Amino acid sequence: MSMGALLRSVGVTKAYDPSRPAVLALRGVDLAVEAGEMVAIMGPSGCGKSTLLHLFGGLDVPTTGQVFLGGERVDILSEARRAVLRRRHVGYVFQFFNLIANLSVADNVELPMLLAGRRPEDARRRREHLLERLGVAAYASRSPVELSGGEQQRVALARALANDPSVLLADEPTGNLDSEATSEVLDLLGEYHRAGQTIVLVTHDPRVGASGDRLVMMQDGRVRSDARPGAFAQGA
Amino acid sequence: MRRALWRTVAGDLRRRKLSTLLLLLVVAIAAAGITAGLAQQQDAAQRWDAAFEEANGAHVAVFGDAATLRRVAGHEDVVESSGPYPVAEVRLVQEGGRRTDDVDARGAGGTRPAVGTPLLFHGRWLAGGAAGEVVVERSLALELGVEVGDVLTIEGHGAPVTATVVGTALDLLDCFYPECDSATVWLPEPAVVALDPSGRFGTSSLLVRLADPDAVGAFERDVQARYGTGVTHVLDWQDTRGDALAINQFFAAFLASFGVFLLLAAGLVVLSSVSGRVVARYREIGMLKAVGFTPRSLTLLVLAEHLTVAAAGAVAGAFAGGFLAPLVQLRVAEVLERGGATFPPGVLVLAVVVVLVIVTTATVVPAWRAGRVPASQAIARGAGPVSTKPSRLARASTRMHLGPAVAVGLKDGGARPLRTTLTVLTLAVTVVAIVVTLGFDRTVARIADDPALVGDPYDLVVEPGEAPRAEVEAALAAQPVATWFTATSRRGAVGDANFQVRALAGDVAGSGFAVREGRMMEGGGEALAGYGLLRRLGARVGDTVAVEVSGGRLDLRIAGWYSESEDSGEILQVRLEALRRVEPGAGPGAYYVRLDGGADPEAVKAALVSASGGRAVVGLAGEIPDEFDAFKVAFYAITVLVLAIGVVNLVATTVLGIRERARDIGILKTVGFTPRQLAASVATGSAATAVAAVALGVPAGLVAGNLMLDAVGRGSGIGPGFGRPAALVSVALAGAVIVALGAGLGALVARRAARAPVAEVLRAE
Repeated sequence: MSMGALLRSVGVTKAYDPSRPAVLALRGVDLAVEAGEMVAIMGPSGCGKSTLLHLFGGLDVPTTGQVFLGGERVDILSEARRAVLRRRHVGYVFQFFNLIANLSVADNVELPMLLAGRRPEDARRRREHLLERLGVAAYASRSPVELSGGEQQRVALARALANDPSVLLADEPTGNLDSEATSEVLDLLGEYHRAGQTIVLVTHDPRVGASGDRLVMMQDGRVRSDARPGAFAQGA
Repeated sequence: MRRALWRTVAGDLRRRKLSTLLLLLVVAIAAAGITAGLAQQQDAAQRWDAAFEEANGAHVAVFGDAATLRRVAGHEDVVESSGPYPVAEVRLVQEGGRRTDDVDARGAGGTRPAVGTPLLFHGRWLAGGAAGEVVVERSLALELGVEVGDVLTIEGHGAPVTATVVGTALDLLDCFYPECDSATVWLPEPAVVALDPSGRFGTSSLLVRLADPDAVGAFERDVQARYGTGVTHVLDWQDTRGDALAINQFFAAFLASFGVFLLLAAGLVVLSSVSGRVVARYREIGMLKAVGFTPRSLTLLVLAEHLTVAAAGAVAGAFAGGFLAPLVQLRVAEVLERGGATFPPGVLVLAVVVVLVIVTTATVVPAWRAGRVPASQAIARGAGPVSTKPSRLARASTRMHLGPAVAVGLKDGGARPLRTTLTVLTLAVTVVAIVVTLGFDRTVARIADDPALVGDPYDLVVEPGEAPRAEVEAALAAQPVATWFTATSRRGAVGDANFQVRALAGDVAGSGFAVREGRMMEGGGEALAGYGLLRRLGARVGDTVAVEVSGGRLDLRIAGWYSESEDSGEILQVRLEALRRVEPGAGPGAYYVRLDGGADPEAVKAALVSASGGRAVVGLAGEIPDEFDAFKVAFYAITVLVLAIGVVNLVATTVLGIRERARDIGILKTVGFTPRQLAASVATGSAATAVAAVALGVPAGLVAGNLMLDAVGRGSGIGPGFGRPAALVSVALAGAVIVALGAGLGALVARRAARAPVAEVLRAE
């Protein structure tokens, strides 16, 4: 495990219900993600993979253990500090897109940039660029609910990438998409990954799992295996 | 089916405790307000009539010399009479030295008079002929805090008498002290005679019942014409009843129209709360359809659910209002109250029915909508898309660099336009109520500053008594007196309408009456009408009316109308020369004196009494009636209730909105909103709601306040156009408080929501 890892969890456990501390979603997870990696986390429902993703992004804090993001310890920060850290370093993509329905596509993408203190004109320019690149520029003034699933996920991706985050955290990003849209989104993720974007994604789909350069299998709140599926081919 | 319905209702009410509680609270507040108002309105009149009946009330009280009164008792219209009884003008000194204004001491025997019987409240009647006993009139006893067993010193023109209060009794001869200042005590006849040995300051009174109680006007004019100066004045039961109840009736009418705000606010709250609940349960409604509920049964379900809650709230509120009513009751009701607070069941039922009708009306539309929910869509998509029209307000705030929190907060307000509109309207009703109350407050202050508005443009009243008029006028000239006029009263009539005719002399032009249209009467052919009389006669300024007075007829042109609250403004003022056309010997009557600014009325009064060698009787002008204070208490009480409803509704709407947007809040957190920014965003939304309500409510409140005060003016005889709008400063302050309240409560609610964990809301759809 390299000390220079971009993301790192050390002995992390998580109990959701304080009255039943024995029921753990995570039972001691040690995982490090290097800058530039694309890591896929797979496992059955309830294995704790989404919980881990939330802890990495500072949406939640572990019951015990430590979480580091870019060398900074996240789990001891206040919620407000974590929010500020998230603005700059973390982009999230979800299965259900989680776009804000009463904001337009453009507003959804600009929001994180305005929060990070960018000037509105800069935010607009960057938004136009992102939507263009992701192929949804035509929908800028629409409501997200008018878009198809694939289109919504592209918008979500644009929002996640708006602040050039250190890491993109994706929770079942294709779980709600048909196979064509899944391919498109995977291609986009691959494109950004090749450009140097660090990505951690959680998935059920073996095809998506195989798209990363590292595959972590989880079960019952623990890491079962950690492998590089492409390593043989590349290393041979 | 019915069981399925009720089981669903019960389950739902248990689960949505907060919105159920809100509905219950709002309905209860409305029902309590209505009950208190209605109880008030019915009470006083019924009590007065019942008391009059029980007292075998006098249709007319005639005052004058005893010999004349004995002849009046034999008048052909009189069927029954009591008296004449001697009446002396006295003052009461309480233990501790507190001294009253002039009080009538009426002579009485060991049994109460058969006509106009004083109704005992506490204690007993005078023991036959026992000296040293006094019975105090109920309103006077209430005002002075006198109780049975107290000892009073009674000062007249003879030797002072010390007497123990043996009872308090209700008397319906005149309206109640201090509104009408003829407060009464009863003493044994010899004691009354002893208090005025010369008989110069007193008079006698005769209480009569007539064959036709409605013929009092004709009887009075006949008595004055037939017996001349032997009869000094008369009081009739119609006037007295009207005076006693007048304020109560305006109060009740004004209160009732004010109560409309309460109902309006409640109706809006119910509408928005029920709509909100239907939206919140959209998916559940789809599922209920899936298990076999028909559209009709779903509509019934929603109706049943809310009417169950509303019925509980209405009944609880109506009872609470019944208990509260005595606390806000007017003096007149208090004076008449015998045997504790009444609890009129009719009022309770009426209040419950009114509230339930409002709730049903407000529930029908959302309930119908619930039945029409398309099942598959509801299950698949939930409540569906909300409005996403780009908000101009939000855009503008982005452009102004107010930050994303403000922009998102403003945008949220536009997400559910119907609910936002209803919330704004509810709060706007609150603002209207506040603005009306502030205007009322300012108007009352204006009346207090300017007694001419109630028809009292003077500081002192001087009855010359035995003192020669020239001497009195010389004494007035020696004092810091700005001006004076004299006035003497007769009963007059135009057709069926009976009223007081007041003949003025002296400085009539400078008398200071508040002439609101036209001008003061000039010469013997003109008259100035009180607003109430103008309305009663259906006359207009410039009309000529034929007035029967002192056995003759005067054709008088109405030169103008003025503000007058006595006799509800049913007074006609003429110059003395006009009265002398039909009654050549008519004297000028008492002096009404206005002092220079800064002069002390008490000091001038003392000086005038001593200058006349104690022969003149000098009184201070009456105070602004306390009833206005009772008004104020009721207004502020209702305003607080409406404010409570508006604010509770704002909080509830915000809570509901936050619950519906739990997911959005989660997303905002993932993109980096801090808890404080979330709170600021929600606060912005609720503050914007409050700003809109203030913007809407202030102008509406000014208009409504003006209309309501005009209605009071018309009814009270002051006439329309006397109201003052709320002061700008106080309106601005109230608006600022409401906006701050909205923002603060929004932030408070949001802080809690912001602390909720994000993980789950984002995972589940």
